[in-house]
Amino acid sequence: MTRLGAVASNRIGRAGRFLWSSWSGLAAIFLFCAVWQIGHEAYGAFILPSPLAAVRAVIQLAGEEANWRTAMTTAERALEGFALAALAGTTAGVIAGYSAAAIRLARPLVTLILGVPPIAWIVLAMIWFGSTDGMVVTTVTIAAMPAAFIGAAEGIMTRDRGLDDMARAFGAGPWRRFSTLAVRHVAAHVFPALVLTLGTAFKVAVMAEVLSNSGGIGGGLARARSNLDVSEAMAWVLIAVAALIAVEYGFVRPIHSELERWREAARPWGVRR
Amino acid sequence: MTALRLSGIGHAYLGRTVLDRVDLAVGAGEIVALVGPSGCGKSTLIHVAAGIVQPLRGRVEIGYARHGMVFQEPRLMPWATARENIAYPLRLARIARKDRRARAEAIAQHVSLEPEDLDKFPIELSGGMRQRVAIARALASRPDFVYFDEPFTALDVALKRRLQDLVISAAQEARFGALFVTHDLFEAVRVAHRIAVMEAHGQGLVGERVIDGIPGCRADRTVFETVAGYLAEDRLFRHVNDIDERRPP
Repeated sequence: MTRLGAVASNRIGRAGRFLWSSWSGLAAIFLFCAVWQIGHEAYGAFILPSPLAAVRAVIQLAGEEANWRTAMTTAERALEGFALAALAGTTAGVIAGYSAAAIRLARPLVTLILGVPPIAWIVLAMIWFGSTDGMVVTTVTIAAMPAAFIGAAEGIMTRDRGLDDMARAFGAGPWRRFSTLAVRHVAAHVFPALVLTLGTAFKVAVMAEVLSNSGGIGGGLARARSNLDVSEAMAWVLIAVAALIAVEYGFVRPIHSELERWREAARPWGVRR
Repeated sequence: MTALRLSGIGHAYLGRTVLDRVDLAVGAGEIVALVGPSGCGKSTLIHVAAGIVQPLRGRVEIGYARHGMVFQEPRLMPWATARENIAYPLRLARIARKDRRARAEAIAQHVSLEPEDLDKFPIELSGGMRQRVAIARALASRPDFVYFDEPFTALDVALKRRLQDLVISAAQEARFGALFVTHDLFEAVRVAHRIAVMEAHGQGLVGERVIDGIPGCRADRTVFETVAGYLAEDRLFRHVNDIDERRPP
């Protein structure tokens, strides 16, 4: 019972520290808003609406149910693409990590894919799929996959061979070595890559929507642009960023910090927070 | 009864022969120390015996049911607590989580790990404690044979002695046989029943000596005199302390 209590209090303590650390995040956001306000005062409301005006526009947009659906459309497309990219990229990365030949073949391909600008993929996907969900999801998947792939491949390649030998000495076959050792090591490499992938997914989804006029936040942005409504455009940008932050801090980061619990323990006293 | 028999073992890394025609047998419940100068292939031989390395030539016959292994470095999973590390072989053996816990705790007590240490991560433990965890892990699945690959080389003298005593008492209690690789003759004479000496370039064994008495019951004085005798008069041990540090490992 005491052990359970200790585990629970440890967990609550960590969650508390995580939430407490959001103060510094808020400070950074307000600092950014201050700079934004300076820009607004220097260039006027038409070029750069004030942060307050943008927030007001967000509130106004949030008042209409249809806009929620619009934002959800983008979030769904981005997350679908993200999930596909994460799954395919990680799986391919793990396979490539184990096979020296595969990684040699894959590296130039990854450079190639990374070298093609997402905008080019959008154009290609528009030709292949038309202005549909599939077009946005495909673009997001292709643009976001290389990061997950490289993260997973690096994770497998840099795994501790000493631990592998240890597991082999205790009778672990290839699958058990993968599931008990490599997965944990790969996760530490893949998560930072996934954060990057997630950001890419949202950006590319919005970009594809703007270009193909297929609804979602990008559609809203395109409309705001044609109406020359700068505060509404700003508001849509804020909404896209807020959606990304919500997914990253509500989902990806907590899992990562759970996996990296032992690193926390490694920090010397006094620099824990 | 033979617990382990190696016959005609040969191995090469990238064409460079590190082991050739090595024959060695270890009886059930017997502890054999394998000594030899650095780079003579002791570690490769024990890796072959433990099934980590596939030998190019020769046969490994196994007469024991289960083995454990302790490495030179602790080789603990950094993300897992001491308890989870100790229970790792049990996890591989698909033993239920609750039983794993109980058995890991029992074996931890055996190697003098405090219950509060079990919730710590390896990085929070000292070098000696980590090696204790590694020993507990090797003993967790109740093996009847244990491989020791220079387990105490990195530890200071006092700690080394304590852990040697730990191994000796554990071996007597659990009656496991062991192959104990070391380059420290004192260690070999303290823990083993028999010492096998490897040729400087892995070309088989050059000979062996059965040590009087049983491990744990030999007085320090006897151990010192035995080692001094080996080094001064016995031709078998002449090359044991030869080290050429320029040779690649």
